[in-house]
Formats: sequence, structure tokens, C-alpha cells
Amino acid sequence: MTASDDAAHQHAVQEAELHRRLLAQDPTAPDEAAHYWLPRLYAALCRRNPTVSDPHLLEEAAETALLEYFKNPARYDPDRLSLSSYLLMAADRDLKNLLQREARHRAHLVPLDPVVHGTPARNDEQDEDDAIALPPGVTREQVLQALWDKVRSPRDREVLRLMVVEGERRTEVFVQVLGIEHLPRDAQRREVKRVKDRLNKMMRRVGEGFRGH
Amino acid sequence: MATEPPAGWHERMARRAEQDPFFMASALAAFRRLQRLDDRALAAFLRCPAEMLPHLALCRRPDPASPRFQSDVTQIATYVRADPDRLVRLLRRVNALAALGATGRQDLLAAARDREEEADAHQDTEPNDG
Repeated sequence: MTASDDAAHQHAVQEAELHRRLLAQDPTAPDEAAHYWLPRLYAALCRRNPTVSDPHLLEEAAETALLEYFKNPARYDPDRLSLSSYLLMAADRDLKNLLQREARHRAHLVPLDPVVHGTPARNDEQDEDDAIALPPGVTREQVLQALWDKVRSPRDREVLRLMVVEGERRTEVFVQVLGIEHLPRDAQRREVKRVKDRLNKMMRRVGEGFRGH
Repeated sequence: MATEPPAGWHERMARRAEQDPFFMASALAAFRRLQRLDDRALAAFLRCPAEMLPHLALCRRPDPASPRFQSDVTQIATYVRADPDRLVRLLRRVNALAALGATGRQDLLAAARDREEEADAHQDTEPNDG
């Protein structure tokens, strides 16, 4: 047996053991399996999708496939294909879904004139300092598209989407997105303002970059 | 293209798992909200290293109705070097919250928590309820 055969055999044994433990509902198996599989699955997904440049989309797809596998390991049928192929197939499907979702997001962006605010749906409590100030001649759509890849956090992306696409201004909506319902009202408003200010600052920077070109 | 996952994937995966009651992450997130804790305070409550929190988050959440609940908790606590009693307490509080089923009943939980804290007064400092 060659060294690579030996390594492959060891990996197969390790994978089978982790799978057995997941089936047995071993409570620490998901975390151990995540550490074993995520780097491998991510690398395989990169190789299969060389044109996808966003590492976080690739990561999210790999994670989605793994989280689902950890919950339902019995869905994997070892008689049909290897576990690595099964996971790669699932991650690839999740990546396609994510790419479609991204494409839909971009397609539905509403090109708004700079510094024109949408009318809030209801007259609820709003952050009075959430004005999106962009340089003249730069649209929100341009800025958002440029900014999307720079904003990694799903929560920040959702805040950004609400601000720019939906024209949302109700503090309570952002409070839910940020998961800070437990905070006192003043603290909620401060946190919402902090996040929106940070994103606004990023938007202005990106907008200045557009104007500079 | 680099084929290493981006740095911080473990923490991000743990955060994503918060949405799913299958994972311990959901209980940790609920407890953080309930007690208004940051990660450092949560780790202090559990008496485990803060860097073990993502590991803990991706563990399967023990089912209190299962006969293996205690052994699962013990295994997890050993894995992340946490205090198993604190882990049980965290799970019980979060499960109680879920059983009450509404944030509007948190006053009851707060009262229960106060009583528990009085009983624990001789132990290490509890997280600040804010």
C-alpha cells in the first residue's frame, strides 16, 4: 500500500466514523465533522466553480450543505455514492440557489435618485438620521452593487437591503433584523443608528469612488 | 483561487446555526438575549474558554426529555471544557423560556432567575441581568 493509499484509507475510516456518530446522535459529532468537512468541501466547491469569485458565497453554500447533513445524516445512502460526492452535490446545489438569490436581489434593485428617500410604509418610529447621502450623479443602485461584496455579515446585508432597496426607515424593523429586541428602547435606537451610520459611511466612500472615476 | 475557507468560518457557521433548534447555538443565542450577555460573559457563565463557544454552538442540542440528556451534557461540557452544571442551567432556562412561549412572559422567568441567583449567591458571580 502506498502512502497516498494509506492516507485515503485513513480518511475513509475517519469519515465513516464521523458519519456513524452523527447517525448515533453523538452531541459533539457535528462540530467535529464541521472541522473535518468544511475545508475539504470548500476546496472541492472552489474547484468545481472556478468562476465564482465570492469566497463567502462558497463558504455559505458549504456550510448550508453541512448543517443540513448534520441534522439528517440518514439521508445519505452510502450504496449510491461516496459521502464527499454527496456533500459536494448538496453544496453545489446550495451554491446555485445562492447565486440565483443574489441575481434576483440585483435584478430587483430599484434605481433611486441620489438623496431621495422612499416614503415609509407606516408612520412608526424612525431613525431621523438615516439619510442616505450620495454624491451627485451617483445612484443607490450603483453604490449598493459595489458595496454588496464588501459587506460580509448577513445581518448587515439585510440592513443594507432594507435601507436601499426597500427604503425602510422604521427602527423596529431594524431591531428585529439585528436581533436586539431584548435591549431597552434607547439602546435599540442607538445600536440601529450605529449600524446604519457605519453602512452609510461605507456607501458614501463607495459613492465618492464612483464620482472619482 | 485560494481553496482555504475564509478566516472566521467557524464563528460564522456557529452564528448561522443559531436559527436552528437542532444546534446548541440556538440555546446560546437565546440565553445571550435573555441574560443580555456578550460572548465573554457567556463563556464566563459557562466557565469555559471563549474560543470554545463556536465549538459548543455546533454541538447537537441535548433534548431534556431524552434519557441521555445528562450524558450528552456531560460529553459536551468535557468537549468544550465547560461546567456541566452551568450548561444544564443554561439549557433549562432556555427551555423554560421556550415552554412559556412568549417574550411577554419573561417577567416570570426573571423572577425565577432572581430566586435562583439568591440560592446561588455563594457561588461564582452570575451574569448581570442588566
